[in-house]
Amino acid sequence: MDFSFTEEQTLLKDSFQRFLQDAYGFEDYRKIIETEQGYSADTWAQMGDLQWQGLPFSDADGGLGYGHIELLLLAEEMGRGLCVEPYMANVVLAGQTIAKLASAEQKSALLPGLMDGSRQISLAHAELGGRYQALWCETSASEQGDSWTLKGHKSMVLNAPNADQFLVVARISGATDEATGLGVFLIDKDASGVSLKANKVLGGGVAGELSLNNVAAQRLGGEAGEVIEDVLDLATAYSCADAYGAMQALLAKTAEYSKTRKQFGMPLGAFQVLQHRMVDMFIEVQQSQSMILMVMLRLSDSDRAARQKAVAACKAYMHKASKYVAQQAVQLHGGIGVTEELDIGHYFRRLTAFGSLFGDRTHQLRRLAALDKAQRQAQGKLANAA
Amino acid sequence: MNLEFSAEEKAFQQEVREWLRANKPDFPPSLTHSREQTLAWEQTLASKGWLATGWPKQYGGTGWTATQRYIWDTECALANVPGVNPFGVSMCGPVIMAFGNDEQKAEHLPHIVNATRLWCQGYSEPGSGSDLASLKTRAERDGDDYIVNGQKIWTTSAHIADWIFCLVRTDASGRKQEGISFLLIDMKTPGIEVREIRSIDGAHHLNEVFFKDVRVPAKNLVGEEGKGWTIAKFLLGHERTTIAGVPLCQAQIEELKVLRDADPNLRNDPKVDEDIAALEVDLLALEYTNLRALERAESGKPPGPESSGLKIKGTELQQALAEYKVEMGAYASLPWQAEAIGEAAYAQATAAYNIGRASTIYGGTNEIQKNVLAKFALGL
Repeated sequence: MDFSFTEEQTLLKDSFQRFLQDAYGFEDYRKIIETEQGYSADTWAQMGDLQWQGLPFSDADGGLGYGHIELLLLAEEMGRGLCVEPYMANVVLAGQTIAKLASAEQKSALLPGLMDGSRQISLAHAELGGRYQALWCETSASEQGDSWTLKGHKSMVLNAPNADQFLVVARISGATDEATGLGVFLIDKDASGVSLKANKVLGGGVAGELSLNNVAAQRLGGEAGEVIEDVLDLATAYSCADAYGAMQALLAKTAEYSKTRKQFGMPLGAFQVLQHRMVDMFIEVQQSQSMILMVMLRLSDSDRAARQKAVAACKAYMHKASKYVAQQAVQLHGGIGVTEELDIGHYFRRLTAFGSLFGDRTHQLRRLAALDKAQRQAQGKLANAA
Repeated sequence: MNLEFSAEEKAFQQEVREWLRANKPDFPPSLTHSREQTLAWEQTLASKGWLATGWPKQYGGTGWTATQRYIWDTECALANVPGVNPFGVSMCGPVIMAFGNDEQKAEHLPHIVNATRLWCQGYSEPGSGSDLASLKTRAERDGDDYIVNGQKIWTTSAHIADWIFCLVRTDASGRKQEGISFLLIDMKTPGIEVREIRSIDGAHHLNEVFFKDVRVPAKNLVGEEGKGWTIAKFLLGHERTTIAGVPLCQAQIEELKVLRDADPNLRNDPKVDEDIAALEVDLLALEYTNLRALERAESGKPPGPESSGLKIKGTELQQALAEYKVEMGAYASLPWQAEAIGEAAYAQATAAYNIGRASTIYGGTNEIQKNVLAKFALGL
């Protein structure tokens, strides 16, 4: 039994933390989130110089060849450091879709720019009508000769206003919620028929509502349903690690504040009711860490359902835990906790967004139950159930 | 990172599974086993050499690693075999090993490891619950003896035990934590009276124990006079890796699923699926926290911050599971000390839920645990 990280993993994590501490003071962050693009082009370019964007890509794809453990360690530091660079949108969502689905030719056209930070691509997967269902898709793709045409509407396309290109999940055949009949299509942001409404997103970053009116597109690879589910699961795990970093920051800052802030002639931390609240926060951070370790271990399981269950369980737990830690951090800071002056409120927003992204607790609990029932069915434990 | 069991550990798991299948007693786990049932099962384990799973070989224990113990506990839960009375093997034994003299070791350890004596624990008193150090049961030195006077309460198994280990006050002059001593007392000594307490499960496992001029040989003092509080703290920090009760919770989740799947009302209700999934998610977090504590124990590191919440989260989950089973049963959970109606598994659900409320109270209430955590984990 071994929960320890390798020396290399520990060194990587330390270097992420140091870089973000230097590059991202809270005052820098506040200026960045007020800009139109919602991230720092300088920092993004520096990350490119350090090859961070290449971290999870294989050697063959020109990346650094690290796995999901290193990726989640990076995410944890992003969360701790309130980093709003568009890493998840480009590297995890779009990048991993390309890596798992695209042809060698398509990869060599797209990945080098993505990895050095010069090209940005957004994955357009979500549609409001499907809530959090990964494969619910009304946007259609039709084939004419050797070209494809897309029609439909995509929501909450992360980092869309900064993207040079979009990867659009569209339905080629089948019913709206069917798992098969899906493809991923590449379009340019300026292509005819594309219109984008830019939005800021809760917790930092930007996104867009993407309308596609007979847009000419290039297909990436073949049947895309499983790849989309796998990529969204990796992104979910990534966002959980990000949330875990933010939760640690909130606990540390709240405990520290409670030692210096005095009321009734005593530090807040001397009041038992507040001590117990902070102990509950501490326990939730510990349990969340256990869930992150669980996901790190199980994401390499050869059984796909085991990987999916691990991610669903982690998110279901951490949505509740992160909400508790964020709410109590604001509560224990009192009035100053509900202002934009202090970083506490910004972590709060980040964690609120985390809760909804890629499926909330309710969605993940239902998903977990369905996966478990399918497994029990296969094991013959539901023999007399109807 | 790697959590796979080694080939040796897998072989051990298989051996344990087969042995439990062949030697499982014909009565299920219960808090109200008779003295005969308790001794019979424990002596079966002892004859295999598998009673003292946390002890080194030198004293007749298994000498198992933390992982082997985890496998053992998990297999016992899956096989639904009765637990072992913890007061001898898990509590008094380790204290005697750590603080006792050679004579005490020779006198008591063989009886514990062979299950020829049953123990109980004399800690709480009517006026000393969470504030245990305020305890008043006096032990006054008289020649080669102590004379003990006072009362203990919530003494599980006192009515079937041969011996009791007690915290007693040998000095009332200083700080309350000082002047406490750790004394071993034969329950047959004149002046001891045991009275039963009926608990909210309707059963008898708790007792009051009265001491009136009980003459205890001074050689039964463990450690130094006045250093009993150090031993009490040693025991509170003991058994960190098993305190959460993960294997039992896993068996209970599986039982809830089996009950759900057998009932057309429950198996077609998405709310039930969601509720059980929520319990399972909590259990998974607890399991991995427990594994982290286990890994630290295995590699000889002191307990980390992860272990502090294990008692709190573990007992909360045990209670939530018991509560949910009662609610799943609907009317079938209501018969009280009566024949089951409907699914027999619900007949005992309410009693188990009721007495399960004690788990967040004993061993230091969860509120006391939080006081301790605030100080040591958060520096408040």
